[in-house]
Amino acid sequence: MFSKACEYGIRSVLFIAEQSQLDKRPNIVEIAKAVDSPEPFTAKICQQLARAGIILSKKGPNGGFYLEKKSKLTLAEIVTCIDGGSIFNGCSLGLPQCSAAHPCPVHDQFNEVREGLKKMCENTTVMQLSEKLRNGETFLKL
Amino acid sequence: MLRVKLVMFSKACQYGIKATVYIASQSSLGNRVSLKDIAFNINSPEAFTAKILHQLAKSDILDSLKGPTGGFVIPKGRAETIKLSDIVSAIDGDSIYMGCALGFESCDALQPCPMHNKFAGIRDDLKKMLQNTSLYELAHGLDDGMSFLKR
Repeated sequence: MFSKACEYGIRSVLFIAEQSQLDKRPNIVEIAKAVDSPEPFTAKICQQLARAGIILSKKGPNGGFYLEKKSKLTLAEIVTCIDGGSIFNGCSLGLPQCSAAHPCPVHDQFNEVREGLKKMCENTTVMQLSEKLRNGETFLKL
Repeated sequence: MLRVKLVMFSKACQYGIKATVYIASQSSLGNRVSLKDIAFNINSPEAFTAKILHQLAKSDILDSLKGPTGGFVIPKGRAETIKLSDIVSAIDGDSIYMGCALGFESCDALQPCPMHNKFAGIRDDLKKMLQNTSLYELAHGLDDGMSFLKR
């Protein structure tokens, strides 16, 4: 359902969130290894997220990526940053100008699913997810 | 700048749905349609569309008739029994229902990824919607001018 870039982006941010709670700031090499993603692609995605202020970065020998411990960052912010929100607003059939007034054949049927996805992403914070990760209830590398 | 478009369906699946809806709508008017006609009306590349139509014919979603009066057709009565889920699984398989939201190969309830439980509900909603939407109702909206296949 998510693009590869988005999958890696979410994985990376969740790892960064988990490490931030331990006062660590992982670098690209560590992130890529921890979430099983290709390094150059991960670097691109993390840079994009950092530029948008979604994640924070610190330069220097002890530098790396991190999040505020009390960050309220949601999944929706990550997804929107990487793809521009088309999964929440875009047409399921890829028509550029599909709308309620000018719907594609599956527009109405998809609206509810999309609304559900949007709400879930808006209501899920990265820190909620990373807590379960820390407790060993969920896994980032399988 | 990194920009990847996110959609629920693959490009092949999008074209497949549009082509099937178009063929169903034409079949209800008694028309058989050619590859060229389909590609033009759903704004898709011809060669790629041919591949997709072949897949759909193999799954008995549409019939492909050879000869001078040939073309693609969905016989009377079939559009009522075909669900959107049939079209999706003919082209994308089960990946939309089974795949992990974060792309892990061995994600399951026992070893869930962080998104696993959050996504289960969304996926169920999607599955239900696809299984409850018939090709007939989609093609009907098109016949009535209520929906559009091309912009």
